[in-house]
Order: sequence, then C-alpha cells, then structure tokens
Amino acid sequence: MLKIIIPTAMLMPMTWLSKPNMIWINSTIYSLLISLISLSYLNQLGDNSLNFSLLFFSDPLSAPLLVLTTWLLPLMLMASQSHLSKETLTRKKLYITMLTTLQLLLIMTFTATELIMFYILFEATLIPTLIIITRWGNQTERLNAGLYFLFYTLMGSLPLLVALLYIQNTTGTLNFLIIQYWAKPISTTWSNIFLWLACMMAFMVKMPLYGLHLWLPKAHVEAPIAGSMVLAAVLLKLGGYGMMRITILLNPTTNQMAYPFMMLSLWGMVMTSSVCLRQTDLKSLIAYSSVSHMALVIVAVLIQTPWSYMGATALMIAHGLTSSMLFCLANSNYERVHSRTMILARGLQTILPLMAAWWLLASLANLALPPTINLIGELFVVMASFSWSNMTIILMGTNIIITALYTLYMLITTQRGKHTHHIKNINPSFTRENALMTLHLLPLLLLSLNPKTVLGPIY
Amino acid sequence: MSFPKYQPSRLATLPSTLDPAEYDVSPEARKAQAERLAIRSRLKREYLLQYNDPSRRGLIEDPALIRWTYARSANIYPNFRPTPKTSLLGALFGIGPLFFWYYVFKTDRNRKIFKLERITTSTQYRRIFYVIPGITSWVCLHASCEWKLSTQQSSLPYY
Repeated sequence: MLKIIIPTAMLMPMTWLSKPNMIWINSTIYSLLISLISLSYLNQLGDNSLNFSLLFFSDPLSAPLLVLTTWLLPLMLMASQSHLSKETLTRKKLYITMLTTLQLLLIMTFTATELIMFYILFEATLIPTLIIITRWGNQTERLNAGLYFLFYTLMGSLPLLVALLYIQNTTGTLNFLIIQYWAKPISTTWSNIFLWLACMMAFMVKMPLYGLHLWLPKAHVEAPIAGSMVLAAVLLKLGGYGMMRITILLNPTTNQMAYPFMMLSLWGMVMTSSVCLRQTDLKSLIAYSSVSHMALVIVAVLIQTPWSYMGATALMIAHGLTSSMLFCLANSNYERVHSRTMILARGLQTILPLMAAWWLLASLANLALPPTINLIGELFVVMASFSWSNMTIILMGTNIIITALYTLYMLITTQRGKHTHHIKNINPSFTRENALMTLHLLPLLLLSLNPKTVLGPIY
Repeated sequence: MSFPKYQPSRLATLPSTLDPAEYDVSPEARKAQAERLAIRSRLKREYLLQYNDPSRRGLIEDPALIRWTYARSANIYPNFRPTPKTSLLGALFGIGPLFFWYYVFKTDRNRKIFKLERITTSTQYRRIFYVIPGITSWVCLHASCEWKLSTQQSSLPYY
C-alpha cells in the first residue's frame, strides 16, 4: 500500500518544484503511473482480502474503487488544464496540490482497516473538495454550494463518530477484518434503532438519499470540472462503500429499519429522473441523474442479497466512469460557450462530430445499454429488488424508462438539430479532450468484457 | 369593386391597417407607440451589430435568457409561497407516495415472509426440503452412473 501512498504524497513536492511549463505534464504522467501500479490490486484472492498491513487492506469491493480513484487523478488534471490556463503559477500548483491531497485521502479511505481511520479520512476528504468548490467555482452561488455540501455531510456524519466509539467500547475492536467475524446480531430495541440511524445517516447523506440530496446539484453544478468529476465519480461511492461495510454490524435491525429509506430511494429514483427532464442547466441534469443512479445503489445495499451487492458494486464503478465522462463533455461545452444552458449550444454534431461520438457513447452508457456494466449493475439490482418484493418492478421499470428519456433528451438537445448561430466559430476539439473521453470510455468498454472484476466480494 | 368585409379568425388576426380604432388614436398613445418602436429598433440594431460583427467570438448575451435561467435554477425559493395548490401537489407527489408505497411493499413483504416462514417452520411441509432434493439427487446419480457405464462399456475390449 505504501507503494501507492508515498508516490501520491510525493506528487505534491514534485508539482511545487517543477518548471512552469512542466507542471501539467509531470503530474499527469506520474499520476497515470500510480494508477497503473494500483491495477495490480485487482488481482484478488477468491475468499479473502489482501491484507497489506495492520492499517490497510483491499478486498474485491475496495480494489475496483481504488483503481477508479487513482485512474481519475490524471483525468482530472487533463480536464483542468484549460480553465486554469489564465491563473497564476502558484494558484495552478495549489489546485494540483488540492487534487493530490484529495486523492491521497481517498486512497487511504478506501483501503482503511480501522473504521475510525475510515471515518477520519471520510471527513478529511471534505476539506480539499470544499476548497476546490468555493475557490475555483465559476458563479457566486459556489459559496452557498460549499456551505450546503459541508454542513449536510457533517450533520450526517457526526452521529457516526458516536456510534463507532460505542461499537468500539462494546465489541472491543473496530478493525474491519475482525469485526466481520465478531459481529453479533442486535435486537430491534429503541437504542439499537438509534445506533442503526447513527451509523447509516452519514452514508445516506453522502450517497445521497432522496430527501437529503439538496447539496448535490448545488455542489456538482458550482464546482469546477475536476471537482465535479471527483464528486460524482468517487465521493458518492464513499457513501456506498461505507454502507456496504457498516451493514455487517447492524443485522437484523436492517430488516425493519430499511423500509423508510427504501421508500425514499425507490420513489426518489422516479422523482429525480423526472426532474431531469425539466432541467435547463446541463450540469444540473447530470447531477440529478447521479442522485437517481445512487438511489439504486441504496436500494441494493439495504436489500442485502448477494446479487444486489454485486449489482451495487458494478453500478458504482460504472456510474463513476459514466458520470465523470458526462461532466467532462458538459465542461467541453461550457469552455466554448461559457454557459451551461442546454438550449444555447445545440446541433453540435455538425460542428464537432468526434465529440458527438463521445456524447453518444456516454449517453448510451448512462441509459444502461447492454453489454456495459451499467446494465449489469442495474439489472442485478432490479432482479434482487424484484425478489425482495414483486411490486418494486413498477418503480424500477418507470425509472429505467425515464432515465432513457432524459439521457436521449440531453443527447438530442446538445447534438442534433440545427445549430445555434453563435457556435459557428467555436474551437475545434482538442486532442487533450479526445484523449480524456477515450480514457474514460476505454475502462468502461473493457470492463464489459470482463465484469467479474467489478462484481465485488460476493462473486 | 366591393370586397367582402374581412373577418378575422383565430390564426389570421385583424391587421392594424384594417382596424378602424387605429385611426382614432390620441396623440399620447401615438407617442407611446413611437417610444416603444424606438426601443425595439435600438435593441434590434444592437443585436444586429453584434450578430454581423466579424470579430465576435461566442454568444450574444441575452439578458432575458439570463434572467430566465437564473429564475429557473438559482432563484426558486424566494419565488415560492405555500399556496393550497402547491401544498396539495407537494403532499400528492412528495409525501403521499412514500406512505402509499410503504403500505404496498409492507403488505407484499408480509405475505411473502409469512409464506416462507410457514414452509420453513412447519413439520408438515418441511419434508419438501429433504424429500424432493433427495429423490432428484438419487435419480441424477443413478442416471449419471448408468450413462457412464454405457459409454464405458463400448470402449472395453471384448474378451
């Protein structure tokens, strides 16, 4: 594990000491090398986890998330080059430092053994993200967005600290490897209900659950491109990962307590997908689609069947790559038109046909086209929820249809039709942007050839 | 020649030149019309200047569009007031379905769990769990043995 942590930490001195014309090149290349190192962790043992030390371990659930995190840093750096080109050198280096700190904390979070260390790093990831959103966002609403983001997550996760300390006192350990064998069933008393709520609310806010999702559209829309990418791709999955880890301690209370959150997620899926159909802002549409996809993951984790866990893991990885790619595409629009309004930049297919190809592939992945892992994740979750209760198929089916509707609406509005008069003289697609889209799409397509990598520990 | 009197319809409104009220307009109304025309032509001139400017890069800012997107995305709460209609819509689509689906799913789940527990805990039906698998595995074992023997016998040499 040190062979990933130390290089990532060393990216920061390297950025500060690089020559001005080399900062982007150095940081991108070296972060790409780090991601290639982390690919070795995908070679997982069948029944057990890879334990690197007392502090770090990786498991078929956390290894794909770790690889996604490390893969995303070079992509974030590539995406940020354009909007930071007018900043001073120190600010550019500071931005790269923020991204690298965030990366370091995320790597340690996904591989933490002790749940308290997981919690501390979970909270610590908020700080670089807050700095990125409030300092480098584009509109004045970014201050409000940062506030919502910080305080929603803090309010949700403070009870988690209390719950973890309580579990440490009663069980004697919070080391995840021990506690999965040591967990005793807890009865459904009032205090255990509060324990369940305290453990889960942090992750519900992070996912986000439908009633507590207000921070997400604000934060995603106001963040700069790297902030949006890391928020959508990785920070939401922290919630899913945490939920999958902590539900081991909470049986069988989950059978009773899951109902309100299942209802919120199932109905919230349909509601947020419908809201997507009426958005004027492109990034807001992608943000609400993130809420909808994550609601599926919440449903899957609360059902707790083998198939649903496999579906949840696959869906998390798939959504990470797809959502990040859609944000990059939206950013390529924004850099040219300087507005996020969808109707202002229409008919791009005639002017930027290669970018239209990436838009098409990203949209097809978003609406869970077979054989992508998006479909595998969604299908497993739909099947598992059908076995939980036959009636869920109504809501799930409605959600799939509305997802297809708004994704195609987004594709057709931005790509098809007559182009607006002012986009005749936009810049053509840069090689950097095409490389960015390719690097997003290539893992997604390759994983559809070998999905068992992302199907999690149950496979 | 006398033409029939022009009747306006829904898709073909009366043009202002055929409207007799147009010719009796007071001087103040005429002045107001002239002012509005001046504003419209100034805006159109500004737009056309920007539209035909060869060194323009990017879109022409439309303040109306900016206001519209701001109102739709960031300025919703100051323009919201709880009225009977909005409260009804909120309850119908936001709160009601949660309780509705809770009752639907709880009923369905209770029925499912009851059926499952009845089968797994009753002694009468429990035999399903070991008789049927036992019979099927016995049949499969025999069938596989016979198939194996039949394929083997053809390769044994005749003594």
